[in-house]
Amino acid sequence: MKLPKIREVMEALKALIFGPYTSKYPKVKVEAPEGFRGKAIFYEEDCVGCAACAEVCPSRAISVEEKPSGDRKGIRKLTLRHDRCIFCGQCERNCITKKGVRLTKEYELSTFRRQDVFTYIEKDLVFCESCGSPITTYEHIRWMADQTGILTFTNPTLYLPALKSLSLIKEAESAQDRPHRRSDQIKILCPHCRREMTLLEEWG
Amino acid sequence: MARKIIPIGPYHPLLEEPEYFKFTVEGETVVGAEVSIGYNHRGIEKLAEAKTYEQVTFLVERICGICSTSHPFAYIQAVEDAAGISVPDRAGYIRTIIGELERIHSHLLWVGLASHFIGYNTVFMWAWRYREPVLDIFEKISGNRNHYGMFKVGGVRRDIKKENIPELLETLKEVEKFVSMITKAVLDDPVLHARLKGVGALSNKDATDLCVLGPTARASGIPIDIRKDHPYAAYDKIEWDMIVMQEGDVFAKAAVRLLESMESIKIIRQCLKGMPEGPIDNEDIDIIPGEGIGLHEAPRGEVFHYVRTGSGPYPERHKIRAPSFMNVPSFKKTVIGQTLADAALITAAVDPCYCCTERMIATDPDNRLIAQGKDLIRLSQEKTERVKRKLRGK
Repeated sequence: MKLPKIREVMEALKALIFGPYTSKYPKVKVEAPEGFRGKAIFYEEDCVGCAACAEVCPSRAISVEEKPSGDRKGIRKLTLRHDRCIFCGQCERNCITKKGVRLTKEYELSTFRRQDVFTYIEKDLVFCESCGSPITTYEHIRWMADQTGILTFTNPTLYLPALKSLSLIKEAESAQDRPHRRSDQIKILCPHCRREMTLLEEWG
Repeated sequence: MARKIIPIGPYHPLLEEPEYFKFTVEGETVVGAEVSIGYNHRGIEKLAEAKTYEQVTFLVERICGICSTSHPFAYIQAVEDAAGISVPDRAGYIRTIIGELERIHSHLLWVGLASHFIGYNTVFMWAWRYREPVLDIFEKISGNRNHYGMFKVGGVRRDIKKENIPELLETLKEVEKFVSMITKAVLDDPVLHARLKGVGALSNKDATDLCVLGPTARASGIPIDIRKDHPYAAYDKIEWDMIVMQEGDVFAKAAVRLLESMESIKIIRQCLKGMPEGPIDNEDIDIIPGEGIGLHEAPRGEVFHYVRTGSGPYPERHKIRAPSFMNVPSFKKTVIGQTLADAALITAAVDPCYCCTERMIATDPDNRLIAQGKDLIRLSQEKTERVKRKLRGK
């Protein structure tokens, strides 16, 4: 029984000399390795407000709210709840700009106040000039226009909001109470109105 | 002899699958056992019907904490079976590596727990200390120590980069030294032989009748292993052996688990060295209506998922059968005729879940409470002391 016990003695000596394996955590801050899935953060310059992250989140931690404030102006508000987040990284994988929401290495998320777990991001919405319903956010349309390249100029919904923000065109009159006309072809329209207007143009 | 003990209720924060046992005891010997399960119904199968296929992967990961990868592994294969999706080779190898790493850390956890029940607390601490390098590997590969989130329909989500592989092999060597030391220590130690041999033996016939799975079955001489019977991922492309023992007692179960950990290390090494280059994800996925079955050899046995896909984005029906469901009723056969001091150990030998034995109570035939979980553990540790003294006295 003696020889086998010697290998255990080596292990015991190692434990005696080097001490416990655990680190003295609150006093010694441990940094997470690269690729660690910690707290998720929205990056304002890169997020376009498309809400793809809200659609794929398995635990419904990201929710979308559209707040029109009248006169075809309004915001889309994305709320991320850190107490519901499961740190899976699906939002990061599916973000259309790849940089809008990313998981950081921060893991100390406990807090005493419930308000601290909510993070918000707000983006301006673009509204349909015919029916007045929100289409999507302005930055999302700018991103789509960038991705489409020169063919953007085939779709007024993609290039007009940029011109409008640069004040190069005037605000269109409200078209909410009349049926679609030919001049609606070069207005900012939501998909529903664009289909209606095209069919009216084609078929009368 | 009634004792008043405060019970640790059926809902313990650390449990994956709570169970409740009631042993009827006459003197020191157990004469009857009752098993009841079904405490922790979370509605996972129903929740799966309201989530998309990718979201369900994260849902099933959180069925269990210790075998967190087994459930996504089986579910993903069920969906791929239903929709006829093929997986690139490199993804198969990475899945195998994750599955085997999990087997190692689950068995090390069991070794620690069983030795705590026997009274060898040092082995408890050392086994759990050597789980840490394995969890650190997981943190480097997948970003988290526990719920890895590596699986995806059609492949894996993250790659194992070539520059990380030497570091992983180094850590594996460190774990292998410890596992081989513990294996030899357990198989050589006369106190453990006297304490564990013949305790809680499950005969081959009983094991077949009760349909037990995993190491519990392999310790009773039944050579079943899903990795050999229905090969998947990279298991048919590498060399490894299945460990089978004949006696079926607690000693055999411990030996099977430890030797399996050594085999797992062998598998991981072969996979890391022989991983082919290529894509890790099959992006061309179309979920068509159909039915699929996914099987995986979890550390506790075979886990089974059935998925019926429909035309919508959500699964139509998802059925899960975890291996402990088949292994736990084997207590009715193994515990009869054994002493009370061994009862805690026998229930732990099947590796049901982390704190399963804390909900065990012992009653005498008139149904009066005699002992709670903590007392049974203490009885088991005292018996080891007696065995040690007897051996030294010889």
